[in-house]
Parts: sequence; structure tokens; C-alpha cells
Amino acid sequence: MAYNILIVDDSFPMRAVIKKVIKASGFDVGKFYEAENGKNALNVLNDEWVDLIISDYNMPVMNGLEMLESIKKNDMFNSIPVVMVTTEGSQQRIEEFFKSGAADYIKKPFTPEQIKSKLVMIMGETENDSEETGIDNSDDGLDF
Amino acid sequence: MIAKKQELTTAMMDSISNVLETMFFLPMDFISSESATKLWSERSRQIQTVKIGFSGPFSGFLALLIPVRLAENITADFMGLDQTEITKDHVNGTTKEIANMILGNIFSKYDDQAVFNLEVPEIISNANYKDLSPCQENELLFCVDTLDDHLAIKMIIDS
Repeated sequence: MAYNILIVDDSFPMRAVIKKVIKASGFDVGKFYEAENGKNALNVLNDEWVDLIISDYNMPVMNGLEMLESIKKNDMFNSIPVVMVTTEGSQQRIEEFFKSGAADYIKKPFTPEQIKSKLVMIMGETENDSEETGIDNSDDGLDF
Repeated sequence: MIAKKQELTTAMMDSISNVLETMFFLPMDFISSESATKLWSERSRQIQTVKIGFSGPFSGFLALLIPVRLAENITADFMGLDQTEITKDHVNGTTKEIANMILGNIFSKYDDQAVFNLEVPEIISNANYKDLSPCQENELLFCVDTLDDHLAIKMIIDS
């Protein structure tokens, strides 16, 4: 099954790298959507079908935690798994993510294997299901 | 200074090497600030500075000082693009991300029970950080040799 993924990060290079890492991991992706803050992400959710959200925490306008709380309060979107990506590793912050309904979190710096293993676990696929799609290095020079 | 300097020093060194090597594929060694200052002044480097404020058990800011050419090389490698394809926004975004990752990792290594709030990184133009020495009591400074060039990371603690 191919999943539509929304990547939320105020850094364009980081969005591009997360996208490339997911492609390189062989995870089965339908479409990628992007947003540069939580507010824009909510707008994307209103317009597009999204299966999974990967979101930075520290962003201007609306941060990742505020976005997560809005999503979980909305009956239309609250079943979409949200994975928080963060540089911060404080136990209290991580507990806040889970209390607010995050499916999981990924700590930066990350490796492609860590991303793939989280996504596979969250979407309930087996590693083999995901590998059947092959590894997509078609349009980038990523050296992971 | 409220922060425990030795623990913070260890956390900074671990974080800098972890982020640069894992996420940005940058072989690196720590060097003296005199070496970095000397090289930068000899070759009249154009230095980009990224600043991130933070607050928590103690507050202050972290500054990443990086020669523009080195920042462009790292950005191209990070994004898997050719040098000719990268823009100033790409470079700014990548250097902000480096600084953000380093700072976040410092605090999780320093004390994972404490909560620090990180501000959104900003590019500082005309910042006067080129003189990297002497280091004041409330400052921690690390200079890094990346084979191509040198960069520096400075933390200044206000309270």
C-alpha cells in the first residue's frame, strides 16, 4: 500500500532530506505533501488525503506540538498518525508529545534505517512488505 | 555561571561531532581557536553566523560561525544537489539546521530531565564574532577542522 505523507518543517533543506531518506529507505509512498509550519499543515489536511504526518517541533507561527494538539482535537484528522522529529531529547518534552497523541518521535540526527523502522512500525507493515517496493534512488544523489 | 561547565563541555563536544558526522557526513577534528582565527584572517573568509537563543535552567545563545564556501559545500552534499543548483535559501536553511541540531543535542546530552526552550534560528549579518579569542568565563568555544575549512561553535550563557 502506498501512503501519502505530509512533511512539516520550516527548513526547506530538512524537508528535502526527510523526503529523500524516506524514498531511499524503500518505504512505499504515494504522494509527498509539504508545509513549513503547523498552520500550513492544517490547511494541507483540509485539502488533501494524508495517511501520515512527520513534523518538526521547533517552527515559527505554529510549532509541532500546537499542530499535534489541533489535529487530535479534530474528528476529521485525529486518526492520522503524527511522528514528531526533534533535536530535543528531554524526557518531559517527549512525554508531552505522547500525551498530546504523537504516534512516535524521531530524534535528529537520524539515519535512514531509523526512519524506515519507525514508519514501518507505525503503519503496521512488515519490513518485507516495505522492501518489496525496492529502493528508490531515482532522482537524488543521497549518499546514505 | 549556573551551568556545570565540565558537563556542558563534554555535551557540546559529543553533540558537535555526532551531528556533523552522522547527519552531514563531515569528517572532523577539534582544533584550537587560534588556528581557526589565523586561517580565517589569512584568507579573508566571508563568515556566516547563525544564532539561536535558548532559555531553561540557564539561558543564553549558541552561535555557529561558518565560512560561506564551506556552508555551500555542506548544503550541496546534504541535499544531494550540484553546487550550481543550490540557492542562498538552501544554504541558510542548512546552516540553521546544523545549529539547531547541535544545540538540541547538547541539552539532551547535558541533562535529559531538564527542559530547554529553543528559539527559532536566525542568520546574523555583520555579527562581530570573528575574533574567537580570548574566551570569557561565560563562554564555551569549539573550533572544528572539517578538512575543507574550519568552523566554530560558541555558546554564551547570560544567566
